[in-house]
Amino acid sequence: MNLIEKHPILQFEHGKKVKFTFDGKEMEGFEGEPIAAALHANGIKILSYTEKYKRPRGFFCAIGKCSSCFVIVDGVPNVRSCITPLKEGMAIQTQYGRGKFSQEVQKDED
Amino acid sequence: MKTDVLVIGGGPAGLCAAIEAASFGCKVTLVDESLALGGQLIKQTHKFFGSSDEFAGIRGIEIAKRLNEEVNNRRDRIEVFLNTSAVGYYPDEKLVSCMTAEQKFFTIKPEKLVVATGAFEKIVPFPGNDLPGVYGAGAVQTLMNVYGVVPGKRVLMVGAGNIGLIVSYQLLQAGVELAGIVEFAPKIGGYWVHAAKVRRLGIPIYLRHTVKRALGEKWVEGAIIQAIDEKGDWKGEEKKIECDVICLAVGLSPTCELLWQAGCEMEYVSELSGYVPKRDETMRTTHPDIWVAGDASGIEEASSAMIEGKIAGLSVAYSLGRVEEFFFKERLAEFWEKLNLLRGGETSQKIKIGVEKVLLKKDDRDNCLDIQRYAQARSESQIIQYDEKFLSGVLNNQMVESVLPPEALWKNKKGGLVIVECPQTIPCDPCHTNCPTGAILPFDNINDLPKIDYSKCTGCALCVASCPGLACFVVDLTYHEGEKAILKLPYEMLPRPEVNQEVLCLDREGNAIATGKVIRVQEPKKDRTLVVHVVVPRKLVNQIRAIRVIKNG
Amino acid sequence: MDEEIFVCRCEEVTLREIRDAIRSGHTTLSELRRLLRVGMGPCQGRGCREIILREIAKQTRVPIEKLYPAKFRPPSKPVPMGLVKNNGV
Ligand SMILES: Cc1cc2nc3c(=O)[nH]c(=O)nc-3n(C[C@H](O)[C@H](O)[C@H](O)COP(=O)(O)OP(=O)(O)OC[C@H]3O[C@@H](n4cnc5c(N)ncnc54)[C@H](O)[C@@H]3O)c2cc1C
Ligand code: SF4
Ligand code: SF4
Ligand code: FES
Repeated sequence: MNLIEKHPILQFEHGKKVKFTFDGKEMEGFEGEPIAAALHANGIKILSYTEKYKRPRGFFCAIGKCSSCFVIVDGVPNVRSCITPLKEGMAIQTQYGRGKFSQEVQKDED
Repeated sequence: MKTDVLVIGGGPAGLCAAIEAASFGCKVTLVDESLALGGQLIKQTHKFFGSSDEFAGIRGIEIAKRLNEEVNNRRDRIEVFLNTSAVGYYPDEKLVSCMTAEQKFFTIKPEKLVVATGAFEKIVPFPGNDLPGVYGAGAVQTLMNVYGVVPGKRVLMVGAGNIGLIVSYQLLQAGVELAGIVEFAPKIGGYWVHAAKVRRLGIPIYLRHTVKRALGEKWVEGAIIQAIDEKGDWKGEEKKIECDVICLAVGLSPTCELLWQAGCEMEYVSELSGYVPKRDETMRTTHPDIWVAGDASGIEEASSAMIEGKIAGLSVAYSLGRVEEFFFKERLAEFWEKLNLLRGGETSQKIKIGVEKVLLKKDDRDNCLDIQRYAQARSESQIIQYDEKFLSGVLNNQMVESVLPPEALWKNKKGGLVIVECPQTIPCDPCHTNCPTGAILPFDNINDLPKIDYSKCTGCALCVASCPGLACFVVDLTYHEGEKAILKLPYEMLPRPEVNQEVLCLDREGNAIATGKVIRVQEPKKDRTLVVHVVVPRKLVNQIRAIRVIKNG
Repeated sequence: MDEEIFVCRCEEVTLREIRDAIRSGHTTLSELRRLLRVGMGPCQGRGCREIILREIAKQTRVPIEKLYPAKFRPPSKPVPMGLVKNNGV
């Protein structure tokens, strides 16, 4: 992973290392950190392709405001990967166009 | 779900609003869509300006921790929802709809609402600006400072305002290469001391330049930059920049969608960087149950965002009948005093004018005119002199003369004397508050330039360690080897210099002009800013302002 | 200049399209939104609003401060389809 090893001011306390997949390929990241950060650390810059002109898109604001970072997570499209925490075993996919549900809608958790 | 007060946004403004309201007994719900509280603060590794009441001289990340603790101490009254976006306001029902983790949808019905949603990065139009690798400055900061991910190999920074300058410096700290900074305007927009920090590490600032296009098909593989003339037309040759990240730091716009939805009266105020709600002195908008604070009310600073947050929190508590009228007025006046102080400097005139435009008041429009006139007179008096070098953050030769201590005193002074290179009035005073001898005289106004009584200076270098602008240095001319002198300078990079090590000495533009020997490394404030004592050629003491550690192997 | 500049990233509207529309008389944000869908994507116009306003101001010679703002309606965030339905308001 492409991580900053030494920093004059900061110390990074990463959480638990977990495995996830991106378009079927297995990758590693840290639990609880945003999906976008984990993907970037694995060298993934393209998160989606646009509907009309099929232009590649990566993240832009990283704070949940621009919606440039949509991916499909466990079948749910239009997930803002910059503010969604990574979990063990997540299946993440590149989103093409506006994204459709490829799976049943997640059920309410409580 | 019901609550007394809902605060949307957990940056400095929202946190202070929540803390203040809770301290008067209100039940507060705080929602923030990110994964941690602190807003912009959690990515700021640099020390903040401002006054000591609002944590000046402390790194942003530390301020976030302290505010977090205060929230934690009040957990009985403040309920926090992270990873939760407030997505809509329904004015008829007075309901705020929220979404947790992009999944769970619920609503909150607050008595009172404080909107402290911060700001959004502006985008500049150029071909390829939508490619992956064109990132907002905040995104770059989040990646590298919060999650420790390398944002790219080589970055081109667009914009030399404070954010662009600070993020540039932070990129260097993270070990990322910086191709340079382009700035549309003929001078840097941020604090001069921030520019000086990156200039002396050899980073070029291209004034009156902008990005013409991003190169690359799938992602950024370079950029073309070019100069522009006064009218905004292209001028001169195109220049190709090698980079894989183009970082946009061209300003922020307030995030106010929720206020629009609530029907608050909005106005476009360029001084505050976009549409902002009209509000009164208590930060209440034209909607009687909605307050605003921080960058959402106009782009400014964390220090003012905190005060505005406190004002909103106090006023909300007052409107809920939790504060006595007299006490409310006293405290409100106190907060305003601080705000006015903060906004007193030349760099804040714009904010003052902007705020005047949206402040709901009864009668005193004259007052507003006065400030405008003042500002104008002031900016006219500022136009004078300065050459291009100075405008990009490098002192010119005449100015160097003016910052040196008096020769007679300096020559024989054991321990050395301070040199302060801080030529612009900014709201900042840690050099004074950290000077143990009173050599840096008290500031009448926090925006004053530091004034020095050299007879009191002992060369202790505490100011060197605490100045957020890294603008203080100490030079000791009494070093026994005649041709040499000791320079004590601030250092916040890697690798850490070792005693007896040879280092490269850089001038104010980052040119290596000599080698020096490290004789001492201190960390006076235990905050990771080192003060490095370097023996340098005596004739170059007025030019050397940074060092680079020569990497072995 | 032939290269396209995307002003609205979400709905993929180009600077040229926006300039053309303004030139043919659509000089308010709301008209442009209806015509081109600019600012109607999931980011709610946060990225493009300023650029469009500046274009309108430039062409109509009305300062930005005087341009009439468009209204926004909830939700201001992209809510994954289906979730609203499932969990209700
Ligand atoms: C590089 C940089 C350097 C800076 N340096 C300084 C400095 O030296 N001194 C200084 O005083 N200031 C500095 N600032 C400015 C300062 O950080 C900001 O002015 C300050 O953080 C604004 O505070 P805020 O609370 O208004 O907004 P923010 O800190 O932006 O916080 C807003 C919060 O609201 C949340 N949010 C937004 N919308 C929603 C929603 N719909 N639902 C739920 N949550 C939401 C966000 O996730 C965020 O956490 C700097 C800023 C930057 C970017
Ligand atoms: S070197 Fe020490 S005594 Fe001199 S101005 Fe700085 S803090 Fe004060
Ligand atoms: S010299 Fe003083 S006023 Fe200037 S930046 Fe440093 S601490 Fe602030
Ligand atoms: S990058 Fe902007 S919303 Fe995720």
